[in-house]
Amino acid sequence: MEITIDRDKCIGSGACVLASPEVFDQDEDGIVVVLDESPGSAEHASVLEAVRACPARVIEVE
Amino acid sequence: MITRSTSPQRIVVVGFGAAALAACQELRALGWSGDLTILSQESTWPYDRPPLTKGYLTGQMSRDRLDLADNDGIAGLDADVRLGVCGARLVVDEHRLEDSAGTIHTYDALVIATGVRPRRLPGTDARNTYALRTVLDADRLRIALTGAKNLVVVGGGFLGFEVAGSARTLGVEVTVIEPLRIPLADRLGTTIATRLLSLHQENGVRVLASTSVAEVSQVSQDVVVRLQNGQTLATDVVLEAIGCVPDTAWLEGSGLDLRDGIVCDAWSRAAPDVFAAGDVAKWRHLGLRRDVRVEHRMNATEHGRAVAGAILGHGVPYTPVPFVWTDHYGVRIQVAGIVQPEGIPLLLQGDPEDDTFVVGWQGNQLEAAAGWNAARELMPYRRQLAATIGRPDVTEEGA
Repeated sequence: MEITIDRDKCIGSGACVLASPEVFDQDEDGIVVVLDESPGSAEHASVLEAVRACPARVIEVE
Repeated sequence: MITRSTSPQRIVVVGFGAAALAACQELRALGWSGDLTILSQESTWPYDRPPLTKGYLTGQMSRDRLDLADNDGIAGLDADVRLGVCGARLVVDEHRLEDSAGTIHTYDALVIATGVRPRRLPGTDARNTYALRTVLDADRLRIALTGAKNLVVVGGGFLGFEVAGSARTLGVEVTVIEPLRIPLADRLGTTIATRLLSLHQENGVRVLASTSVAEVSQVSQDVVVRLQNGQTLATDVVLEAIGCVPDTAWLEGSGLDLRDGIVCDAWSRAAPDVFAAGDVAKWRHLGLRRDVRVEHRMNATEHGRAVAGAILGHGVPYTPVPFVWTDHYGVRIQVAGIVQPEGIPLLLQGDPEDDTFVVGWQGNQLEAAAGWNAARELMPYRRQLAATIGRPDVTEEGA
């Protein structure tokens, strides 16, 4: 799994951090920071939840 | 949990904002492959509203950046999208909806996500008096502010103060009129509201608190705002920012309970096979133990997703932690939970004079937390609230 994000579109809701705290964090403005761009399979379900929970849909996975 | 004997074949969604989009995306993400029809009153695909008071209004953010889905995203919904069409009549017993174009739709499940519309001052016929809800409203307001010398904002809530801040960055003189003594104290608590008031005053906003507007009228080229205390203000532009009302007029006579929104149960059901999501929905929140209606961006997405799950039969009671943010001159304020304005706030982190701090409200458990430029610092409290408000011990109202 490879994660790409569009930081310009991030609105800082923190939904990804709540869904997948091992993979996503926020900077001091609340904008998404990816901690692990290629997370292991243990995190896949939480990352997919983060993708769907993001109100701005800024997270993409391949 | 709701259980259904069969998966719905035909779902109709009325409204196409963030909540409707999230519901449609989630239906497809959950593998539902039936017929989806979407009626959108606005003649545009879903877009993000929070920037309308901020970056979009000041011209820093372009129109395409508001879009919540691109062409591929809309095509991926595999839906019959009808732009410029709204609901006209609902017959719940017959599972039948008539739209404003006269087309009859039958449904196995209906999602109503028609949002809210701005409340307006009664009897105002003055020119250059605006409200702000849609992107067209924002375009009109931006044009009006271009070359304007001054703006009066009627109502010092989130929207009113966000526009006030944007107008200041455009060089417009701004006066905000607000009945509360400390604007937004009811939503943010006194500590943060006081700091926010100072921030606006430092940026040149004149705030007339503890008063309200009696009348807005046109006097030659000026708009004249007369206050309850007799004071009058002449201005170029007026923004009415006095809140919103649920967009439910078309549902009068449908038999749905329409007291302050579409009243729903804990699964967001308003009637058999009729669901409501987003700003328009007032649902039974089992974690907060009361009916709530939440007009915030985060709720639109969360609620849309929850309704999709409920329709497909694997929904659980919808118990989100209400979450709102608001931006002013580069400061972001975030609130999780429901602020207890009468309660004494606890300082959870930092100091109210710092660049970053968090306050909270505690009853038997943490009720709410609010951060000033503290997105990361707020996160542990959001988790704590999610573990209490978000996971109620559901002994009340079974399915």
